[in-house]
Amino acid sequence: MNNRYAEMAEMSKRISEVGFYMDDLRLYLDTHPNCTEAIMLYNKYAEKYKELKEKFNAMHGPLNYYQKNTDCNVWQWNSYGWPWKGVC
Amino acid sequence: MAYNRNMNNPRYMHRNTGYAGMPTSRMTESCNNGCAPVNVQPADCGCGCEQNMTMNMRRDFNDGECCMADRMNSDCQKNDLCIDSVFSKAPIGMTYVPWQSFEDLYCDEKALMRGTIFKELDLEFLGRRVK
Repeated sequence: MNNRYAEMAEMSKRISEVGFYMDDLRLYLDTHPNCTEAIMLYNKYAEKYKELKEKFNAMHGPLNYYQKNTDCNVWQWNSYGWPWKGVC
Repeated sequence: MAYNRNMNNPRYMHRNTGYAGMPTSRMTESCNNGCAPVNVQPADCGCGCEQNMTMNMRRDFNDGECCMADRMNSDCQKNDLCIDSVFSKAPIGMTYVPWQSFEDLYCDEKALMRGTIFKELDLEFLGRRVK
């Protein structure tokens, strides 16, 4: 079980890293809207972000309740554990 | 340093000094793509902004760069003089921000740790608490 949490923490960290990269690229692009290089990098990170979130969702449940419930029979948001129970 | 993409546009210039104000996205319209390629100095970006700076302005900005580096050194006693030389021709009541170019990026792991994706923005905090 601990391994699972460690894996969750690692995936969560990757999502934060990629999300932060997109945040900072967005700030740059706000003042440099024609920078094709930055736009291409932003799109690359957007793909990666989507991929990581989908992977997390499939393995450990939804990161937030704006994500799709992938199981039609169970409400997943509150069935994967909580931070105060050791889940990151 | 690519200070401004549109230094020759009279709309953004002070009539006495030739200094332009703070860059906005509108000012990038005359530029090819609005940014300098990675690892290429802004002077080569092709937008003509550097070429439009007068020699005096270029000298002032170069002096300013040296002084900003000196400012990191606590032994430098000429800070006020240096900063004065940079802004001596600038009108008061205006703010000036050097134009940033897209270069020297951190990898995503390090970027989150340092709080920025741009190495040039990862600066040492030299301030102190207000008493």
